[in-house]
Amino acid sequence: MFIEACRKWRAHTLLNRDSLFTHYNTFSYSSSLSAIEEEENEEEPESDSENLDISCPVDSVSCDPGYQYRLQNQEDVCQEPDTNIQSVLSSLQSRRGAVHTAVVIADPKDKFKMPFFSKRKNDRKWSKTELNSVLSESSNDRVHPLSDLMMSHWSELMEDRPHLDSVEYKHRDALWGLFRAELVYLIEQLKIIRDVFQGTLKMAKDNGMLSDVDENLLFPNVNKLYKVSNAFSLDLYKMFKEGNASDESVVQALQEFSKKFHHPYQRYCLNYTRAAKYLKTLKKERSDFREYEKLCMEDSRCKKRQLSDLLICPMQHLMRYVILLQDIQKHVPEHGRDDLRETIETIQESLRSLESKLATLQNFQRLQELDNILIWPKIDSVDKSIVIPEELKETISEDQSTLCSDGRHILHAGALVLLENPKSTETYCFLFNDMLLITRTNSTIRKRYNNKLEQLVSPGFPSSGDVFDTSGGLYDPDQRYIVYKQPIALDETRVHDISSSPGGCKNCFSVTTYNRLKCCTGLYTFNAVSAENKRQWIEKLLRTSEEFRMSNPATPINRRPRLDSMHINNGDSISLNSGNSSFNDQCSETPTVRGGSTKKPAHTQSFTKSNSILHKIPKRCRSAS
Amino acid sequence: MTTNSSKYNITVIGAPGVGKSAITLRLLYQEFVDDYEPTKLDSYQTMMDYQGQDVDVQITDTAGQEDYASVRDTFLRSGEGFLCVFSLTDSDSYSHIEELYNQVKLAKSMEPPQLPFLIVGNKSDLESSRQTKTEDAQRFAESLGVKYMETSAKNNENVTEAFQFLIGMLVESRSAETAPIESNTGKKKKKKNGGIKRFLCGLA
Repeated sequence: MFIEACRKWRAHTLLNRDSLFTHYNTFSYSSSLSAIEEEENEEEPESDSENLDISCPVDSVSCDPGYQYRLQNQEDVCQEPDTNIQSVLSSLQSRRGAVHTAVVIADPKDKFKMPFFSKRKNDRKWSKTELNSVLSESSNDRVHPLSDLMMSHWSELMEDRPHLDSVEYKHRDALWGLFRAELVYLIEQLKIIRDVFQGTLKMAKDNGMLSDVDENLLFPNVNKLYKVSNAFSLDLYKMFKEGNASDESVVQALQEFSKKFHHPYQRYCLNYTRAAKYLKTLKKERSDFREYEKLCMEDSRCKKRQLSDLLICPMQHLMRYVILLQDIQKHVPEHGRDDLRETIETIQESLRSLESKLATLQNFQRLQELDNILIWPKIDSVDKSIVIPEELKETISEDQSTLCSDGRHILHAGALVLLENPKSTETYCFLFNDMLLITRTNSTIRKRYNNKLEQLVSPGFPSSGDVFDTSGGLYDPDQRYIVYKQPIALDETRVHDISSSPGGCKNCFSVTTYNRLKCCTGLYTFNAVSAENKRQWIEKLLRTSEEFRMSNPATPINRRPRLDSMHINNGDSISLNSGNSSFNDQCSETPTVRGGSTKKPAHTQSFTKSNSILHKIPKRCRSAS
Repeated sequence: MTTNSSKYNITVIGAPGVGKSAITLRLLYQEFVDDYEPTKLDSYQTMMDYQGQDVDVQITDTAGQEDYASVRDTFLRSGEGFLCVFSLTDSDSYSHIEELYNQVKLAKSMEPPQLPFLIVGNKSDLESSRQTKTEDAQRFAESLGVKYMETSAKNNENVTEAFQFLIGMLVESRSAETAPIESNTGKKKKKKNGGIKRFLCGLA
């Protein structure tokens, strides 16, 4: 159905050139006035005049006849969407010659020459707005005006090739590398997303198909990226064209770019994960969307790439700038390096901030997902002996614990057997940077809660698991986890390696918890599945609690008791620290070394000792209370 | 559907300076001489021959992303086959492999032999400054359950072979995917049983 309609639409537009023109026309006008661009106007006052130029071509008539002509003949250009730009331009140029003979057009060395460069070298600002407006129109043409340059070399652009030494030659090679990479990215990737995929989707929507597909979610600010990249390529092109690839103009172009790229790219990259997940869901669940993608991919410009291949391109390209700029830096004369270095640092700074934002986002999504599958029981079901007065029942039930707290992130998770009287419990434990959470999985409860969850999730809205598949293998997103014990805060815990365990179990370790009054409030003994698994847990627990204490300087009341009772665990924490420094090495070493590191015969006695001491503490606490 | 399913994505990962781009470019520009440095792009498309069939391959070069773990994670999740490169002359890059391997495993929620992953020791031409022994790397790769190869992007040794090996894995895994749905559900069940074990192994 859909595909047929779209094909029809295409055939129709190709036959009926007027309608194609109208379409492109509406494209350029509606899109240039869309919200995204309005937002841009706030950022850059410059583009204001650019929009003005488009909407009021009459103003520019008096300024530049060529420009006027170009606008008048937009129809001609658009009517021949498949002819290559050269022939279109030559027809344009021949007519231009009639209007404004002074313009130099044909240059055999150039595969394609922007009509305005040669003329308006002196009046830089004006020609820039002019160019921008031309490019923002031509971006809706089928061929980008600079596309021929993708396969050429900078020397072909130079009108008279001065003799260049090899240093300068290599410098220009590196610059051309940057330019070409930008062009390929702009034309082969961004433009395809925008024109083929986004354009077809708009088209489909105009015709009442795929109307519920969220365009902004699927193509986060692609348009804006296109503009930024377009302006940058143009600046670079101008630089080559004017034969003035001096450090100054390079740096100027780069600085211009580095001012503008930060926000759009941050926004894109932060939305990318969501877009990718949304795309995946759409492809899985919607047959008409699959047809739509198939239709897009039939476009020869697409080169068999799927939308998912293309959507990641901006992010990939962003990560490349530093490398490309460093390449240039190698060949820049000594005195020009500082400016370039500054630009590189600006970009690196932006990348770092992106990285930390992404990490926070991923972490938040992961916590949110985990929070959705965690079930916090009421306090009276954890401790049966608790009596809740009627008037407190409401307050207690409102206390919904939530995982999503500032700075919390999950570090480790896995199954452990909690040794208990009369019988041990199989648990699944989550280690966060500030707490240890002991949960139980229960298949019967799981079913019940799944049903409940399905009711909660509004129909049509993808469930959290589909949107954020961020578990990273730490837990099963389809499983439900019931909190079994109250979360254990890591600031007042100690970890003990139990080598000879009660009940003859191997691979045991214990976690003891203390409250602020240095009373031992809990003792949990776990049985790990293997020695290696135990080592991991102990190492992570110790490291995490140590780090947590470091980042949260304890109050004096906490500090003192821990310091004087530390001697029991001192050996342990020292051995951890020494292990810590070589942690990376350990990871890559063979398992034999690991086995060795778990053997701590010297500590065995002190642990049993510590246990005997610990067992006494709760009694004292009890009698005290 | 047949047109897009015959396209394979290979992501090249590894520590900085191990020759990720060099290997990629060598595959694409076999005929070029040593001192020629073709323009670096982000991703490349090429046709490769696999068992007499032409397959479309998209190669993603992750150079420049080494210091950004979360960014890398995004890329790993969208990747299919992974060519994990280290430099034979740089033991640091070798010790980085396990971390990368674990990240890939977690990002893809897959494990060898299903996970198309190949460890490549590059710069085998610089025999005199070699820091990692072939046997050690071989043993290490075996312990992870993946294959190991040594390449020289400079001398164009084993580069095509490495990519071809990964293509082979991808072709196989995809043909397994398109197998009847029945076997798929069986797989899922099996996965669940081994789930906890898998999680435990996956954590490092």
